[in-house]
Amino acid sequence: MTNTDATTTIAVTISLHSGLPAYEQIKEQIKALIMSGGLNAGEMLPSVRGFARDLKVSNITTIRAYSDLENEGLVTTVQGRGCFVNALPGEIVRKQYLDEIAANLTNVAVKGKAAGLTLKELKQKLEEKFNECD
Amino acid sequence: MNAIEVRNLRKSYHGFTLDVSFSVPTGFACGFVGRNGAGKTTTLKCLLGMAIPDGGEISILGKPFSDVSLKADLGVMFEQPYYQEDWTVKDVEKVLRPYYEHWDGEVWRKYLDTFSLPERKKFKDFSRGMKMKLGISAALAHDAKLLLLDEPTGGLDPVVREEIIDTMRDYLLDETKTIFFSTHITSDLEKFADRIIFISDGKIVFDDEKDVLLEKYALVRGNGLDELRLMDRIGGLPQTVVAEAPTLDDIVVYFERGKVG
Repeated sequence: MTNTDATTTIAVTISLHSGLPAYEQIKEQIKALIMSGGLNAGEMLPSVRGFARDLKVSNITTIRAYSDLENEGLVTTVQGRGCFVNALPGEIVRKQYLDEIAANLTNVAVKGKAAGLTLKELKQKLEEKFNECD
Repeated sequence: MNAIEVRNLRKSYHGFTLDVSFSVPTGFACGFVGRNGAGKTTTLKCLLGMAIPDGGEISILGKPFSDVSLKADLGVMFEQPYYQEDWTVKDVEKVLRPYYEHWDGEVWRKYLDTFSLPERKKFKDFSRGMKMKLGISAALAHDAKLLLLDEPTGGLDPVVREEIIDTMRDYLLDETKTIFFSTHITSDLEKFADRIIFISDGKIVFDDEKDVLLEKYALVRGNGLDELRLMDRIGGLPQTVVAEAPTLDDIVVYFERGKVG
């Protein structure tokens, strides 16, 4: 039966010639989606069987990809309900924040210089913002 | 739970001896591979009571294979379905319906439609692909729990093969359904088998998950070597030797030739 069960479609594409096994490709692409915010905490992944059908791979391939993701702490399978994206582990989130700060600070330094501000003046502005945030 | 459980199944004739044990887990597609004469069809026939085993135990869907109530739960196809030459699809339904408690006319019509099977054409005028599609439609219309298929895509063109495989994929959306099929076409296995059982000269040579199997071996060639080797045994080879990922065809052929180091 064409059971179009409640399948959240997510953008995963299997290359037949990449040399990487299909379950690895599925795992890496879902992981990238989670890291980039394309999939948020609490969102449900497509059902293993529906996803296997849509991707034209064996059921066991999607089952393996999901269980690898679960072992890495990125998703949790709830028996009878589905597979859900976990809230990202703390250190991963922290690293992402640090990367964002570095990028923003570069922007601040460049624009500050362009506007003719001194380092002291920039620090002062940062201090004001920092204190506003509490 | 295993949909099929076979323990020490033995059957001898004309100097050939079948002696196999294997199981097929519920909810998956399991491909049965081997050369002609390796024992595939004999095994399938024993499963269905079409051949009498010399010994061993067989259970199907948790029941002994002699249990008549099994019939309604099985969808069987050997090479092609056998219907009367002058039957149309309507006649096929009329004859089959009374035999199956769970016959679903709507599902039947849905598959006839999906496969574009002609209403008025007689069975004898069906192409091989159309006959296979008709047989599979019948199996799905009576809500079979286990499909036993002997070469379901044999002799079909790639487009029809893909249509049949897509139908099998739909069927396996339901985790209570199982497919056990014999085939020579390893691309079919690549496309949708979860497990592969390989039989040679009446014995099971390997029985593994497809993905595991593909990662287990390397094809090692050069410097006088030409064999399959377990992945963890390919260290320390000379530089002139190449170690590559084998295809399923490679795995079957090298096993068949005994070139596994």
